[in-house]
Amino acid sequence: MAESTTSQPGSEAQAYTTPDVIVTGNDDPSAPHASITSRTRFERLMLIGKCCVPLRVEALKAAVAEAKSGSDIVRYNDACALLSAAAPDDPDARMDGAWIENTDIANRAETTRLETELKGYRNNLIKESIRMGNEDLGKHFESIGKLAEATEAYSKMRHDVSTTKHIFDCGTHLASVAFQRHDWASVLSNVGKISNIQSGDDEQEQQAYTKVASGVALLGMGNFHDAAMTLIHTNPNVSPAEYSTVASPNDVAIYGGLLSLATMDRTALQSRILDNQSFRTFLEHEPHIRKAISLFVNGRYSTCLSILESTRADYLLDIYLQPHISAIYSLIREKCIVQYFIPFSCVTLDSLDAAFGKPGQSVEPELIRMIRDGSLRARIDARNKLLVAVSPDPRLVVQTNALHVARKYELEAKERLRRMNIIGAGLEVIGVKKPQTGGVGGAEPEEAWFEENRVASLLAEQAQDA
Amino acid sequence: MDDAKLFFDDLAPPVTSSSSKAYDAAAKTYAASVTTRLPAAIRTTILRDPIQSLQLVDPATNSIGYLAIIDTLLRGSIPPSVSRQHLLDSTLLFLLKFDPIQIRYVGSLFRALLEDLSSLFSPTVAVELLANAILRIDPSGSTFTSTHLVMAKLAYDANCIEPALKVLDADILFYPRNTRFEDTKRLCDTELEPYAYVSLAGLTDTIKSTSILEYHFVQALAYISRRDWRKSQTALEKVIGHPTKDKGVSKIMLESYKKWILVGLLKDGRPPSFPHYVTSVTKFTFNGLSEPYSNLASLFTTENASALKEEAVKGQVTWEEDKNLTLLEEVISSYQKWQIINLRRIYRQVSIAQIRQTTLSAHTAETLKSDDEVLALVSDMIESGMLKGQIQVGPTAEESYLTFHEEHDLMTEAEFAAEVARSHSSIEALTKQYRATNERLSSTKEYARHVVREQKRMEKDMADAGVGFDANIEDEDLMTGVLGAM
Repeated sequence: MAESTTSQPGSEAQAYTTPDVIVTGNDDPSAPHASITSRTRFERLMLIGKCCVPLRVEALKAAVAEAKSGSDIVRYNDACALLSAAAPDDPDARMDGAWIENTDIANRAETTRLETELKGYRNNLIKESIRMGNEDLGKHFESIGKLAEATEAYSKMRHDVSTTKHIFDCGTHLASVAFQRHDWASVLSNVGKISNIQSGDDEQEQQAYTKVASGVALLGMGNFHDAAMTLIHTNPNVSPAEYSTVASPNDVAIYGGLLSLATMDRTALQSRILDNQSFRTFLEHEPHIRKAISLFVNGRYSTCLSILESTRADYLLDIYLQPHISAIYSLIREKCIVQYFIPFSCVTLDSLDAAFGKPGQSVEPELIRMIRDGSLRARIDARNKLLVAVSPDPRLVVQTNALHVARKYELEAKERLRRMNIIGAGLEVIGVKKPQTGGVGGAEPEEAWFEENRVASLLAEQAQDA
Repeated sequence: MDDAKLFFDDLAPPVTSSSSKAYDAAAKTYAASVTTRLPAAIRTTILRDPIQSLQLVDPATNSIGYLAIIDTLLRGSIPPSVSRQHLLDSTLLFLLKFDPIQIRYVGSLFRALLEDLSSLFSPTVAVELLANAILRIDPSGSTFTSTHLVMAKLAYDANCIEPALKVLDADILFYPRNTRFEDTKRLCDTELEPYAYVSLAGLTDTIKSTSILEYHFVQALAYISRRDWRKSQTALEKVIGHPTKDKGVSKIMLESYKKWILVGLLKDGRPPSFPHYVTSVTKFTFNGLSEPYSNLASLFTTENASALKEEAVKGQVTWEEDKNLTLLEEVISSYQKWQIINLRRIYRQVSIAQIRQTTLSAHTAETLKSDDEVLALVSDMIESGMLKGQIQVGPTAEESYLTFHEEHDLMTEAEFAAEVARSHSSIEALTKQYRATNERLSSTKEYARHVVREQKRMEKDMADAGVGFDANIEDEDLMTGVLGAM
């Protein structure tokens, strides 16, 4: 999670947040997210404000404006606090007390109004009205940032659904709230509920939404392979507006491309990504991702990595990608190294450094880690500076295995025979009868009694036999 | 003296035809007459002139008589003119030459002599004699006797394990049964299995489960003192996996479990895994009572040397109480060695300087101070056979390299075939023993009882099945039929 932390001006900002990532790339905050609708737009702006040094003031100002245009007081407070830490003199940084008060009053009034209305509908027992009342209340709660209440209101919609469209609405609302709470499991379960609905005309649009939403949720849970498989099946002919609450087509291309690159092998990348007509449409939005994938497929790993490296800063400012980007990148890197090494039986460390090393930094520690994890089957020859492939002598393997099995069988057979004889001779350790040895269960007062009894019974048996 | 000679010679059973009924009867009478019913006159004669009486019979051909004489002399008071050394020499001679069939008739007397050996001879001689005697009684050494335990304890206490090894190394497979013996076979029968005659002849005291546990425990301790981790682990596994009943776990088993963890770390560099036959109840008891050990073991495989060191210091009292302090020291010293060994999974050749940088000593939780120390450590490991590798010493530590070799050496085809043949024959021998055991167990009272019970159950089941398909019941009368049958 550690990114190059070049300079860290404005350490006061950390009093409010502890950003894991500091990005110093130059980026236009609004451009990549222009097509994103408001709730995630605010989150994205806040993320940039927290993590991106050159853009922080600009992004936070935009966030403040964004918050002020809505009615969520908590968000406004957060944004203002961050902005005042970053740029204390900025006019926007001062909190607008009047606005807060007014919005608060308005919010309360609206809540009461909607709740009263809903009560009225309930008394009238009109299902559709109750459903709509719940929906309105949920939307209101969502807009003022009361996510738990919003979830509750939206879940109540489910009781009164009457058409498939309603079910779909209910699911999307719940998923959208879960997205904001970063509750990926509940996103998946809600999206799962609506993914199989047959609804005629809208089906394609709905499918696109469910694919994108569950793909992003899977990414959030760190399930990279499934996320990639879901995202690359998104229908490109559906208008992006259908899933704009979650991601833009660019995002779909970036997430799908990067995750595929991290989890699929070369043939799969060729057949599932590059030859996949529908996903190609998305990749056209992000040509460098496509380029990176085709470079990987063609075996030009270092160029592929350098392209990815050049865009790392951008991805670090993405709310869904940021927590996972270093894991994804290191997966891709590891794959590159493994792929690079496959055709060779040994490679000099220098050439590996040339291909994968960062300036002044050897890949050796990384290789050591990979060998230890078992992802790279090779040994390092530190003397000749070589990475040597492991090629076990098949004869030795057979011999060792055969002898191992034989010895194990022999030991096992002996042990079984021994145990059989112990039990046959009645020499087990017995829980109650052996208090002098079985200290664990506590002392037993009956030892003498048992011993005597045993002797007596033995004698009796003998007498009988005689 | 001539009377005595006549007495011992006349009645002595013939040396030949040793499996006949006549021999059996003669030997029995003879044994009784020279031991319990030895005439007082003869006894006085023997005691009056020990040197001559020791020459009366040949220990190899008349072991019964010789043992009786030795026993009389050792227990009685001998004239001061005769040196005790002479008597001891004769005992030694007897123990080296005795006839294993004959002594079966004077088993308890012989056992008593064996048990007294430690007070007669120096421990080294006593252990050697005991080991020899055990193997002469039972050449395979696979039947457990009370003498085993006597020998093991003596060997370990006196720290002369070397002569005891031939007995300790043998696999114990049989235990004398405390039940009476089928009278069909005679004691002198050479075909008789050791586990049968050992108990019948009184060559062993009553065996308890604790004797077995103690024997293997002492055996493990002996191997530990020889740093033979593999064998001591096997011995300890026999203790911790001892069959149990009614959730019983003996203290010896628990002590062994603790040692077993430490020995496992020394042997494999990682915590050992339970043999599959250990029951979950036993495992549970073990785990609950040896937390410091399991904590230590789990840290051993990590790179966190300081935590390991901390844990070792924290548990100081426990180690001392359990008398495992020296073993633990050994474990702590071996931590770095295992780190080095594990480098073979990463490197083919690695410089000494690199080893120094990447491995930590658990004593200090730091790297070793100088490259020379590392070099010494590594060469020590190679010499002891712990590490398969080779050092090429260069002018500096950066240029001195350790080359790792394959873990197993490649065998030639002939060696491999020989090894396979050995395994094959040993498994074949085991199969025979399995069959014998199966037969023996099938004829026990318990098994017969079990079979009878099973049969009864079967009969009952058949009866319980009630109306079978074959039973002819008319449709209309279904209920009445069933009720009637009941």
